[in-house]
Amino acid sequence: MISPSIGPLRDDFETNAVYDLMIAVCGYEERSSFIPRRLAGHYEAITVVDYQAVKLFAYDENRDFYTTSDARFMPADVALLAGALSEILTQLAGQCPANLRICIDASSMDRDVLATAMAAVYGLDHAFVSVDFVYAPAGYQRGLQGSAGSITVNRPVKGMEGWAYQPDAPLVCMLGLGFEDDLIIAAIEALEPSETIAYAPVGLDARYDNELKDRLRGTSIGETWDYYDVHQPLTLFRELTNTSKVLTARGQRVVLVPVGPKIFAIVATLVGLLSNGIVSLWRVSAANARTPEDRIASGSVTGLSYSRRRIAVSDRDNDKTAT
Amino acid sequence: MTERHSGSEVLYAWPTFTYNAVKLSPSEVAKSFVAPPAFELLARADNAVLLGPRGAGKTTLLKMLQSEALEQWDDPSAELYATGVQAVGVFVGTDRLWSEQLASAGRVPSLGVAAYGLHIARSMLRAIEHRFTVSERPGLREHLRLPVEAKIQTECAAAFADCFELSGPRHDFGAVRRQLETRVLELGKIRNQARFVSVDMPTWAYIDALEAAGIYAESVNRILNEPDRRWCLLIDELELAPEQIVDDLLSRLRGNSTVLNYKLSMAPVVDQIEHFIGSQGAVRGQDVEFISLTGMTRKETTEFTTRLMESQLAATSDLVQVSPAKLLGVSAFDETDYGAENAERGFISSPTTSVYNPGGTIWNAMKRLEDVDPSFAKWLADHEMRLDDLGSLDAHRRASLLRKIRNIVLVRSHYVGLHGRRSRKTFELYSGYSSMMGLPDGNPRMAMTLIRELVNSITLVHSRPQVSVQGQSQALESVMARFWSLLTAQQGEVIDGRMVTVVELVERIGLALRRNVLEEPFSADVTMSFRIDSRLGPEWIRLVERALNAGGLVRVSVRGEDLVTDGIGGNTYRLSYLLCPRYSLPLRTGKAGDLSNLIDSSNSRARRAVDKYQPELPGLSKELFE
Repeated sequence: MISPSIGPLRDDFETNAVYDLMIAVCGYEERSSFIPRRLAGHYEAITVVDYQAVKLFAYDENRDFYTTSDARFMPADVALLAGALSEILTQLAGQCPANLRICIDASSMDRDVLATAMAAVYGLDHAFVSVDFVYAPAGYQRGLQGSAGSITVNRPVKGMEGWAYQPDAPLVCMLGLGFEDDLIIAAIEALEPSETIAYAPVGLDARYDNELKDRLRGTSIGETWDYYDVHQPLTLFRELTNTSKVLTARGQRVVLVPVGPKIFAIVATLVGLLSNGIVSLWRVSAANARTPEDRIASGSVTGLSYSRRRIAVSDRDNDKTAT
Repeated sequence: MTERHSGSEVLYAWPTFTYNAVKLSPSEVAKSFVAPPAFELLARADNAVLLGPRGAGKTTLLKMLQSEALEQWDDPSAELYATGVQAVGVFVGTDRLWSEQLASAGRVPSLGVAAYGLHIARSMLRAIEHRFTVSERPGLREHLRLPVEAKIQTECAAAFADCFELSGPRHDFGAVRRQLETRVLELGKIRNQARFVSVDMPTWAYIDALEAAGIYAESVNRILNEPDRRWCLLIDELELAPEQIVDDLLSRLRGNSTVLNYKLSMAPVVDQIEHFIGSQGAVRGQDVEFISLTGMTRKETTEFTTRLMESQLAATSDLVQVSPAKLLGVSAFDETDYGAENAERGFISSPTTSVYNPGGTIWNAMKRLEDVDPSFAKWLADHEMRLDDLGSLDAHRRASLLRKIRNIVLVRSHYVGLHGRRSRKTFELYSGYSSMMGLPDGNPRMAMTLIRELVNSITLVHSRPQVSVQGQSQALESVMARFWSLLTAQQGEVIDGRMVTVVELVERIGLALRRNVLEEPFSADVTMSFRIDSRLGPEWIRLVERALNAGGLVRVSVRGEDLVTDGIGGNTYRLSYLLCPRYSLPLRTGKAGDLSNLIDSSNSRARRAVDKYQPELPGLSKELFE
């Protein structure tokens, strides 16, 4: 039996955390190495997905840092990545029989890589696994384009397509909003949901909050959204989990569409994974067609902590007896 | 909600909604259904393939062939259709997400087929259960209802269990339905297990659902002693179904089943079209009717959109008696010379006033253009035309020349008046009844969006409701912005190392056509449509296909050209009329040029324009999110 638990990041995670493995990316954003640098010395090994297709801005510095950190570089191709990560994790699990501690830094990950990494960890058969999913929001940047650009990806995240027991049941789209209204429209156009529940991020920077509100109100989304605080991902997790459970219990289909800050993607992916393959995760992206922008970390780190203990039947019985 | 607007009162503001039949029940669809000309063709055909872009109404038309919808439809012709449609309609819908879910079960290839088969079975069951149900509303029109004694129902339920190999209880439909639901759950479990370990499929997963459906229809006919009763599988968005099902369905179109017919819907350009081509394909008119929802004439689309608007006005009780023509007024693009149509609608007092006489709309535009455009003055001189004597032209010359140039003259003179600037006034040229009703190209989704905007802009002028020219212009601008957003949302293609989007393709075409119409020396014979020529590479072809499926481009019916072709090469297309105001183009087709020439001629301008113009148009309204 598996007993999962989700909680906030520990307050002291930056000073006292110890990880057997850090999974991060080497990209062109400055922040793609922000957390691995900050946590240097707190992890035994580091595996890095290498976005070498775009070697702009801070890519070389990030690459140098990872090289000197003895990072293991992995391909950004998710088909290859899934197998490679699984292999590393299985090997690591053999070395850490009691407790496997992993940190996944999603700050610069694309949603396919993030889902692949999270699914690999989620699928790991181990006595105890604890994973911190972390994200470094970027500081305010005037005229930010975000991930906007020509649509090149508009499909479910691989491995997280979900499943419908009734294909003609109403489809509810739970949408993380961001500056990229073209992406949102593309997803809505493809999915044709009966209902959309939208969530707008707040709490990064008051200027972002205001710009986003203006942009959403002035362009396309209207005023029908809820808010979530990017620094309170557990609250968002509970909201998405509860809402998706209620909807699926009513016989509705649920698809999560994470646009905007990556913390929504972390939470949405986790909700999808924990739904036992029912809830779908959709990816809409300009991918490499987006205009590259360097994103500098604001200095704060947010995230979620996931742990899972495999309980033997006898342990469970003992627990019951104790209760 | 009532709000103040520019000093006059906005009378009606409708709740926002998305006009999308996919997730609506048959009775919900029926409530707002207005039949396009294609509906009669579809209803009459035995086997049919409906072709149309997003929003063209394919799902609506298929759903309307179900008994429940035919019973709920409130329309003068509804009785006729309910009597004429004698097949039991079985709607089998799908959507993109489900299609992706089936495709993702790649490790178990038969899982997608099994899931789709179960979906067909459940749809069959729903249809037969409806037949045996007594109407809840006394006096409601009944379509193929057949309340029979429990014993007969048990026989039909048992026959269902036999055909779909259900081994559990079979005494009533509830029992067999529960078994189907159990199978759906089982399939979900198999699919979850298959993500981690290899799984054997149960034997029922290999049932040929189409074959089973046919046998079941025959069984029921036998039990009910209705040997001639036909059943019709209404399969929506065929391109999203598993490939094996598609192959099977299309081969059955040639099979001449005695009991089961198929009515399928597809996007205009899909890979599956190859099934209809060549010696093995279903024969058009013999095995299957192809019905294009973009093949309507301008007159048909205008009439259809008018009826949609009338229906929406009727739903607003105070406006039941208001005609769209009177609300919107006369369009500059009206095709009548003497305004007889206009007189009939009460726009003008004298139907003998020619628009070509001094002071008439066209005469004024020609006069203005003659003064500022030397190429037009030369054209008039070359054709020995004097503006002060146009009214006396004989009917033949009027038909051959004036009617040919009138819309070009209108946009050219309007654009010259704006000194080349883009302005909200650009769209005012497209106001008026016939333009507004023609602009959506008969696409119900866009038409409903436009109608909603128009009705929201109704104001009272001297106690008479109307939509001002500015109100129409703003409504049009809003709908164009939404349409543009939908085009922006289409996937791009990397061409020569650079991402090219559908909107860039459209922009290149639009700018090239605009140059022909507005900037080149005046001509009566300008290129307004285009052929897909052999110089276009496969990436451009894919972009054109996406633009067609999104409704940005529209097939031009050319005599002798087959509706169904293996690919789009050689076919003729035009921009959707909803895009014409963006490029100051008249609403007409004109002669065709090669697309590769249009694309080449506007390359750098289009790339600049895509960036420059896009922010000018407001974004999408919130309807999409509700």
